[in-house]
Amino acid sequence: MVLSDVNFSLAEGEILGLIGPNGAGKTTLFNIISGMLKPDRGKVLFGGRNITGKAPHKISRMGIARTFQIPQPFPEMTVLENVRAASMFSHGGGKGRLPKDPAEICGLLGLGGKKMHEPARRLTGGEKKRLEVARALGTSPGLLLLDEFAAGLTVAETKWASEMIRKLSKEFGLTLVWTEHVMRVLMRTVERVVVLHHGSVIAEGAPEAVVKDQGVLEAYFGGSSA
Amino acid sequence: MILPELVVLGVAYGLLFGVLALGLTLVWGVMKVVNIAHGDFVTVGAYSSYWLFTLAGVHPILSLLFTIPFGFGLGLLVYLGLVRRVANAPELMSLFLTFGLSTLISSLLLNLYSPNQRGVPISFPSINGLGVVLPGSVAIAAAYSVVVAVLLRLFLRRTFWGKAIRAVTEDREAALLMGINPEAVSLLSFGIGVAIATSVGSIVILLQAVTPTVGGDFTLLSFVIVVLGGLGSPLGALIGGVVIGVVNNVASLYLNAAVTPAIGFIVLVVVLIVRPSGIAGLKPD
Amino acid sequence: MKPNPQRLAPLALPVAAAVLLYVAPNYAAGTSLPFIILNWIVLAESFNMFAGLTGYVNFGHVVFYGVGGYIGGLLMANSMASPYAAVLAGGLGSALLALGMSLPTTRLRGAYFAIATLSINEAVFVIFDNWDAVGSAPGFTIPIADYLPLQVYYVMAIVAALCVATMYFMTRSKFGVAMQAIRQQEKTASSIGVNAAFYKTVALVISGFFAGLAGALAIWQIAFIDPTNAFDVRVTLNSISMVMLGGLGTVVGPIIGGTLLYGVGDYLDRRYPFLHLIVLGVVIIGVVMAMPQGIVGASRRFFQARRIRREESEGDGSNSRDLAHL
Repeated sequence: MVLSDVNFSLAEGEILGLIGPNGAGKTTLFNIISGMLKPDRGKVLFGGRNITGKAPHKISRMGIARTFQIPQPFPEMTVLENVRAASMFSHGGGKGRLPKDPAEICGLLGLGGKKMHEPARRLTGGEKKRLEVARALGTSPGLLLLDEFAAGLTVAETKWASEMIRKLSKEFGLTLVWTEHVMRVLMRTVERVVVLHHGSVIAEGAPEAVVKDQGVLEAYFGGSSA
Repeated sequence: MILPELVVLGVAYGLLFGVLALGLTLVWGVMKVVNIAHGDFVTVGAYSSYWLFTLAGVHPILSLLFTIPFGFGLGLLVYLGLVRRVANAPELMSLFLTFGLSTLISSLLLNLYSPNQRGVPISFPSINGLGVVLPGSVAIAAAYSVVVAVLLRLFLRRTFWGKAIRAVTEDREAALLMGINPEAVSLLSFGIGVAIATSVGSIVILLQAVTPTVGGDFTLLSFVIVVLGGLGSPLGALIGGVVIGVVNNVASLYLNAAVTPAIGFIVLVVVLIVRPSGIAGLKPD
Repeated sequence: MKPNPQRLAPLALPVAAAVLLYVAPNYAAGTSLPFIILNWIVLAESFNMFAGLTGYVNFGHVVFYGVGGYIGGLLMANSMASPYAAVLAGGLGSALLALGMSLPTTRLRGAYFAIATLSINEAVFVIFDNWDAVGSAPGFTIPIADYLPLQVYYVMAIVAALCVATMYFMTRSKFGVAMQAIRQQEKTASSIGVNAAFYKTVALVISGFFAGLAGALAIWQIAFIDPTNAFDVRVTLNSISMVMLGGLGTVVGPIIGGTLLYGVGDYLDRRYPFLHLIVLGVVIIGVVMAMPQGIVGASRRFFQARRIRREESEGDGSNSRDLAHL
């Protein structure tokens, strides 16, 4: 995957939507930010520090958490153990107002009570997605990278997800970057959108403006449908 | 011996072991299982040809008509009975399973046929050309390898099942969506992998005497080649085979014969350090 | 009240101590059986420390054993150190080797790691087989003037106890959580701040240390070493079988598997030399197919299912058949 000319910045507590068709480079960008891929050129700055090419565990400890598009929990651990593991190694990188107690985080994501003690491998698809977020929050991050959180969720779950994301930003002061290739939910939730296509930013701005952008329309529906 | 001769010899041996490694890499590509018993199937093939020759006078080259279908059938059985069960388990389980299978095969052969060396007393006229003398048996090995490599390539490029194998190797889930049954493809590729190994055994018995425990050496050699060429890459396996064949043979000119076996492994470890995905490598994961 | 295995667990420690310190040396004096079993337990447990915890198979485990044996043996043969110091040096040497090995190999995933370690085993064998300064292929013997069977046995028992205790702490600590995370989903582990390469290195170094001690102790006992025996892949094979049979990743698995398999193997070796290997092959295949959690895992499941069944029937008496899958 090639990324070029991708340049944007984030304000604290902001929710940034990152959209683009399949293969636009959204996950690649997350892999670069979270240290799982090293870029050939370019820089990632976080809180004024250059974190380009640092190891993933170091980036996590600095307060950047991520979820995976296809949930990757620790399958044999229970839900609670998954989140507890996250809180054990993160050294509380972020300074947000997020709850620190793993059980409380599980509850926040609707995985409290009996669910908490179920092995992660037995969860449904939607529950696994929520566990992704709970585990990421377990590291008490300042920045959360959400990779296709709403993809594959039911209508009710999607609505809940969008409220959840708003709550994380408003109540807990978390900064979020949220990717999705289905735009609707995301557009209703975020304040600002960056559109990626073929590895470059083709539009940036408020959701209402971006949906009217000619380039974006072309990227999604337009001519060269190879 | 002189350098050009060693290079030719290395290429010839390298082709044979490259083809052997093809079998290993095919199975890896399709189901991400490293078959540690791969070399032991070579031993099985070599013993089959040995006994066919000793008891019935069947020429080892003719015995390919037996060892190929026999290996294919054996592969199907092993897949259905054992390997299928660990295909989706953690990788460690398939490594353990095939390691256990390797132990079982070599120790069964030990019990049946003792640790004695077995070889066939057949000699072939050497081939002279351009000032290079190549033993006839080695030339046969090289010719056989080229035939197998070409046939396999045609199979993978031209036939439905061949394309299915490539599709599953590339992206198992996408192949499933295209209506390909990955189970059937795994079964087929395991059968082909084992058939390649047993047939290489029939050729190996022309080149050297074998013992029941020689399989481990073949497995290691195939590993080295496959890692050099990049796991899952058929062309890489052939290139890796030739590289290792030439390096091993040429090195014997400068080094103590006892040390040469280690060269391949040293090359391997160096390659793994410098380029963890192999020379012609596919991306890891 | 039926006996509950968990309640009996604290009893295991004094019983084990009594067997190790009194029964074994007094009733099996003159035979090396208790020593050999303990030696295998250490080899199996140290293999388990890495493979069982991280999910990576070190097919070159015997290299630690062999190199530890060579270092200890050379020091003893040239009377350069007391046997105790020689044994310790063997362990430390192998730990250092493990550290060196981990630099290139901990970056390798799954099968690549397994292949690399198998190759390292082969390469190390060839080196020692041709290295005249350490006796090359014929190997060397050490003088047995100051050899006391009981002394060697007790050192072995202490090492075995330390090895099992180390495994216990490795599984029941933050270290253990990191290991579980790496084994179950390495990418996720690094995403939550686990330094996977570091933890894998530490596990390999500790594994190498104990296997090295076992090797040095073995040469103290046998008084002879050569490359064929020191780097025999069958030592790794045995360790794998013992760990698998007992229970991969469990603390007591290698003790159970080691004792059982060595007992059976020793008997078979005397009567039918080649049958032994067949049995090992069958054990590995059988365990992978039928009970991948080994004896410990299988019995844990059995007791768990029984407890749940009992709770269910005490509770609302609803059918216990639903739980049969546990």
